Amino acid sequence: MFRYIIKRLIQMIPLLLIISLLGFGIIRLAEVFAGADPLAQMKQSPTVTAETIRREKARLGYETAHSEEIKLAEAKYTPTKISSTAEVADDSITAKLKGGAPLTRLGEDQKAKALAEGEYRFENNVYLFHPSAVGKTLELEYSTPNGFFIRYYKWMSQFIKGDMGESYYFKSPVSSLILSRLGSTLILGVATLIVTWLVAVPLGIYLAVRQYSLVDQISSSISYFFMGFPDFFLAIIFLLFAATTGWFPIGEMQSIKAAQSSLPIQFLDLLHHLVLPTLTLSMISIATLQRRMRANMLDILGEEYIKTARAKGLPEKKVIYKHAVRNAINPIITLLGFEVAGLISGAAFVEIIFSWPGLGNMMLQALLGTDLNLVMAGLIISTVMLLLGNLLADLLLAFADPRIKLEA
Amino acid sequence: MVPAARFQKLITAGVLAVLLPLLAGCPTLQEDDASVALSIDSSKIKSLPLPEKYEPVIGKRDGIRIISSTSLPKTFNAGLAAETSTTDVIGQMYLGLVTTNAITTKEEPSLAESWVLSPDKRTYTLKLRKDLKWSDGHPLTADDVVFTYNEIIDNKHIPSNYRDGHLIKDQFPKVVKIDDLHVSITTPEPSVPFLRGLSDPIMPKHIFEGTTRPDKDGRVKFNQMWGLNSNVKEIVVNGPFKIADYRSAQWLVLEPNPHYYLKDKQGNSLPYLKKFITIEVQDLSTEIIKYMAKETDALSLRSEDYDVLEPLQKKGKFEIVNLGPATGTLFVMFNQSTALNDKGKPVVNPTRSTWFRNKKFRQALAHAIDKEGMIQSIYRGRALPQYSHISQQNPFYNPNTPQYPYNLETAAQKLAEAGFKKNANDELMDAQGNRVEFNLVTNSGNTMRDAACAVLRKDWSKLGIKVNYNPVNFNIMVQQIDQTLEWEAMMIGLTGSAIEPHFGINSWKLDGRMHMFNMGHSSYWKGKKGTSFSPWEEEVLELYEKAAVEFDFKKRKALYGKSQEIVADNLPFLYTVNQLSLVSYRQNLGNIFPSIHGGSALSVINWNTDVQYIQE
Amino acid sequence: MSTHSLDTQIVDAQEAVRATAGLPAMTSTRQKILRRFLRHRLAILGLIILTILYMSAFLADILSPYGMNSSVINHSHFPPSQLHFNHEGQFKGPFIYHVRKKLIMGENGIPSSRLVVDKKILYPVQFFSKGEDYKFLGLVPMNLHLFGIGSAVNASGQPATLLSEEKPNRLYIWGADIQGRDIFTRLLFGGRISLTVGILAIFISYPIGLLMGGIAGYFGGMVDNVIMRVVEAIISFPSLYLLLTLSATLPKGLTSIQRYLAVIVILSFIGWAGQARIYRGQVLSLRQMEYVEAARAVGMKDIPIIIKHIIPQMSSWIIVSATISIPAYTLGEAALSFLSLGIQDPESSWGLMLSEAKNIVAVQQSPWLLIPGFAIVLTVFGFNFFGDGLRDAFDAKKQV
Repeated sequence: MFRYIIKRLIQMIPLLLIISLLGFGIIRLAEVFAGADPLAQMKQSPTVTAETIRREKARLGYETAHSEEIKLAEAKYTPTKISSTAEVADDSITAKLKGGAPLTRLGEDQKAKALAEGEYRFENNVYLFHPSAVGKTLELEYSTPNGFFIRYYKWMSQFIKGDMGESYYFKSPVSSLILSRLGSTLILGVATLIVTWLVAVPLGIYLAVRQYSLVDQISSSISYFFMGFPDFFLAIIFLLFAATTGWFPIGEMQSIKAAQSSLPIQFLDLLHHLVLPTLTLSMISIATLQRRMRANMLDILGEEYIKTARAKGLPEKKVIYKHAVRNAINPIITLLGFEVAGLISGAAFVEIIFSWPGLGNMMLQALLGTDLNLVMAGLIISTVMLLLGNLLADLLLAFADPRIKLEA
Repeated sequence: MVPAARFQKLITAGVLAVLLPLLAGCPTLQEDDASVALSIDSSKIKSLPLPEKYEPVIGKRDGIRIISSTSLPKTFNAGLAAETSTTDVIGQMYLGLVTTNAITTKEEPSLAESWVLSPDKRTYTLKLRKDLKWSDGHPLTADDVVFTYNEIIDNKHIPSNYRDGHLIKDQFPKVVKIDDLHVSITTPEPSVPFLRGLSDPIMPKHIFEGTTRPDKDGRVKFNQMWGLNSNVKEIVVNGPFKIADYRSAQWLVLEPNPHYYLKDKQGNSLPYLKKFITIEVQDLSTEIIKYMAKETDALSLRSEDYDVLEPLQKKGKFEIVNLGPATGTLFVMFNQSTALNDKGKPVVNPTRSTWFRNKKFRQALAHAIDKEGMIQSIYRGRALPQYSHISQQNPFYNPNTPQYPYNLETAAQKLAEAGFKKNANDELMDAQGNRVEFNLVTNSGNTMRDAACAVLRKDWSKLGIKVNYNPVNFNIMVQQIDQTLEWEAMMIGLTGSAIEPHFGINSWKLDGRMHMFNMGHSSYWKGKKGTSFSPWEEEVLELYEKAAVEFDFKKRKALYGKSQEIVADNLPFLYTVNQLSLVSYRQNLGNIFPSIHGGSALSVINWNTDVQYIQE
Repeated sequence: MSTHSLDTQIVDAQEAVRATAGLPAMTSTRQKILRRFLRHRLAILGLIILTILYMSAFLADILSPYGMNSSVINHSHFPPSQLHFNHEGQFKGPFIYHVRKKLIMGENGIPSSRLVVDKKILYPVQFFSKGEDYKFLGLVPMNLHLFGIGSAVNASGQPATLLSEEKPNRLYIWGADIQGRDIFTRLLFGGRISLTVGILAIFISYPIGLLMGGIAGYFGGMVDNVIMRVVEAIISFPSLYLLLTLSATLPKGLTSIQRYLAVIVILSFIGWAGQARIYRGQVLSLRQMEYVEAARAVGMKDIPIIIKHIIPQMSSWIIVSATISIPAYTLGEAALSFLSLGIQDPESSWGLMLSEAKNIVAVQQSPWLLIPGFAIVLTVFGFNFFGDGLRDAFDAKKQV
């Protein structure tokens, strides 16, 4: 079992690499098309310090920094580390006298002016100095922009270490923001899974046993109805229901009043808040799952061995619950993986409408605030969650069905 | 596959069952009694007058107040506070030397007990209260004040929002400790609004000492301290409240600071409230529903929501009060910048730029803004037309500026004077024969603003102008204003101050961040070429600078009055309407003194939470 | 987002392939398919729903009483007009009463507004009336509208005078939105976007998906590996997260038509991967077929073989699976616009219209704001029913 998990995790690595590469590519596209460069935003913001920008620059691998210490032989100097194709990132250049005063750079519009003492100019990858600087020792700093893959590599190596950068919108480290929201999303997801399975499986069995009864027909049409119902529309209708009746809280995860009291009350309060979001998400999954369970049950009930069991005079209850259900439920468990995938995506919408403090909700806020660091991390982390969910589903299947051997 | 045909009827019935109650839910309307006129005479709108005196009564300890906000603070570090969501909360936790009383609008002692102005009017000597303490029991002295001003605010390593407000002639005042209780602050020139500005939160030196300069790795530790993920118990305050609990995107719970200096008349310690809680509600309409469900106890109302709440006042035991026209403004501006971007291209198409820089063009369009129509239809009477850049409740407001009454003929005539002509297709052409057309940007997701823009677009299209409406995300709009400068016309709202016009000087400083209509001062603009300024822009700035050193109220008022006339003549901002500032709160709140001078949104009642209490 | 999980599609596709590949005479097959489809009552219902929806979007200019952006601001959130036939016991034909928004100064000095009905003023409902000018499909100038209301009259049919500054009422069969625009009208025009997004996206994502899947399945080996890993990666992204992230790449200041196209491209980017994966499986089996071997033997190049021989083999499967996947694109567009990341005002789309329903207070007061949501639901049902019918019609199992 343990080996199987390790094997699966290792297999996930190339997939994760492609996922992160795609994600990184999309963000770069956003930078090119929408001009949503996270660094440019930070540079313009008066409340972001140069230090933060420097850190972000290094993390995102925008540029490779170079520094040289030279004894100036003539008033012209070409930095040695620039390759013939690389351009120096214009805002990265500084020149200092060794251990002494910085040299002020001439502005763009002053190019025609002669160099004054203590000033320098940078043109066509060449430093020009005032003649008085000749013979002195200078410290030069500049950086050259990196290509896509180097940037990806630098970003990725930081990302794996858990440094996802600074959120421009929330003014906190992205990793801590994601962590604080992940729990809420998991609560919603797990609650939905539990409700879905607890309702759908028994319902499917019941309906299969009572095939063509009125209950069966009604529930079939209801589930057909919900299978086509868009999740966000259902969420709005439920929220409207809550607002009109006052029976349920209007979104959020916990009420502050309950949070002030004892744990059991807090738990009940959480359940109260969970009802509508969970219902929205489960409705649609129950519809699908219940139909599958019913169809499986019907297939099994038609099998020879069930007929034999009945013929042997076993009580009907035993036939159904001991023999039929067991065999009908196994193929359903394979669906769990799909379920997890749909859930994470669907949950995002429900979170947004019910103001549930989860990952999807934060993702939208980050997007509206053009906070690309956070968007990026949200995309990757949600995908990782999805993959882990699938893995978990497979493991569960192995537990449920001893016939399946965990071999990759 | 289930032969679904059998369910056809059931499904149809299901869809109908959902649809029918909807259609049946349409309101049945009352019959018209023909008694009242259709529109409202806005001069008859009454607002709540300010009480003559601020005299809070003795309250009862205990009780919880809960309010909602669309956004919780972005940091707990007062030195880094920028947005109102942050400063509102910082204001409950920190005091400055001086405060402004929202009822009397006078400067009042806060941490400083008294002050003396030197004869040359340049040096304030402030005396701190005795025995002031931080919430951790550490004494608060002149050292903290000097540290706050010199090490935190005037420090280029710390992105503090407070620094710019103190600059006079581009110099930061000298703050010097005299002894433990006395500080002197010297400005390079006398300045009237300076004292009022000394309200910056004073921060604890014993916590932050040594963190405000770059360490050997170049990191400034201060900028990382007291962020949202810090332990809230470690945050040391000097104001009425300290943080008890914080959960990201959910709530912030404040509890009394036991070392808060103020006591009530009977010597009981303040604040009375046991908890003061802000919950985050992302959506404005959810805020209303939570208020109606009694989950919160106060609400700042948008004018469109009044009709929903008004009938519920008695049953819900709350009151809605009108504090008069809000200090915020809503206007359209045209980009008059002639700057070139770093690629050498003009930020605004030069043809269009010439129209936008043409005073007559702006005046003509101002005549084509149906303010009254907007008030009656969009704001349902709950707004007033706005004419001046200084808010109507400000003592320096000049009511006699040009008003540009709505008249499309006058507008057309002005356009003709400026050389614009309509062609055969009823399209407006400029003197060179270019079709008059521009993009109007506003922030997306604000339905009232969409509606206001719809009114403008309709009227302006009657003049033959093609307006391309382009709502964008708010952040993008901000980027357009102060980074790319690439926009043509924009509708935007700003919050303002109802007391001190000088705090709005950033709109008039040529290199100010709020000089939005003509950005690109050559000293900071990174592009190829900066913009050019008109003489009147410099004139307005000069008047503002003169007024800042004029200690005589009447003369000062005349200077601001003149500036308002010049601005209204040149119309950098085409104002629309001022919504009424409506606020609602439960009747069981004690010591509520609503005042428009309290600040924006709920600050109008939250400015004195230290004495508020819950009545039986 | 799609309610059809992958494995059903695989099974269905395989069945469809068997159905088409194994059948000799095309004409008789077509007839059989048609007959089977017509027996599927729900599919007919789906077809009818879709026909009505698409026709109404196509004829939006004529069917709608007003222009898409024609607004009377003062009519913001006006309720649906109530149709009457009798005035004080007298039959007058269909007409509506005058609804008036009144501002009343409250005792507290704050104006409040109220809607009242004035039964002295009537508007007769007219059919094939002349109304606002428009260009049908942007070409033919017309002013004919299927229905509308005439000018205000009093009970005896004489022209009635409104209060000064008052605009005449308009016919809002499904109420008005916040800007005082007719929701029915905007719904029809919004259909032009919401209903075409799916179809256009299919035209982008299917060719890409088919080609990629075809190449992967046909060549196998390294090519297959690379393509399938990318496909797997795209499928692994939670779709809404990916949709949101992709919307960040939309440049600001797009014109409405560019935005519409950009939304389609984004949706297709997500959509092609699923198709590629399924199609690859099909090609893997078809590759071994004799006629493919034969084509290869006569020296045909690989890509032409894929395009000329393999893809046509799957035409019926493609039609069925495309029909079934359209609702997912429709929902994708609705989702983006609903979050104000897709189509934007003054354009109209159902998701955008529904975004007004995010304001719960407004919906409580004006429940008709939810109507665009039902239009989305109806479309999804239409395609599901229709797609089910098509699938069953092409299904080989039933033939036996």
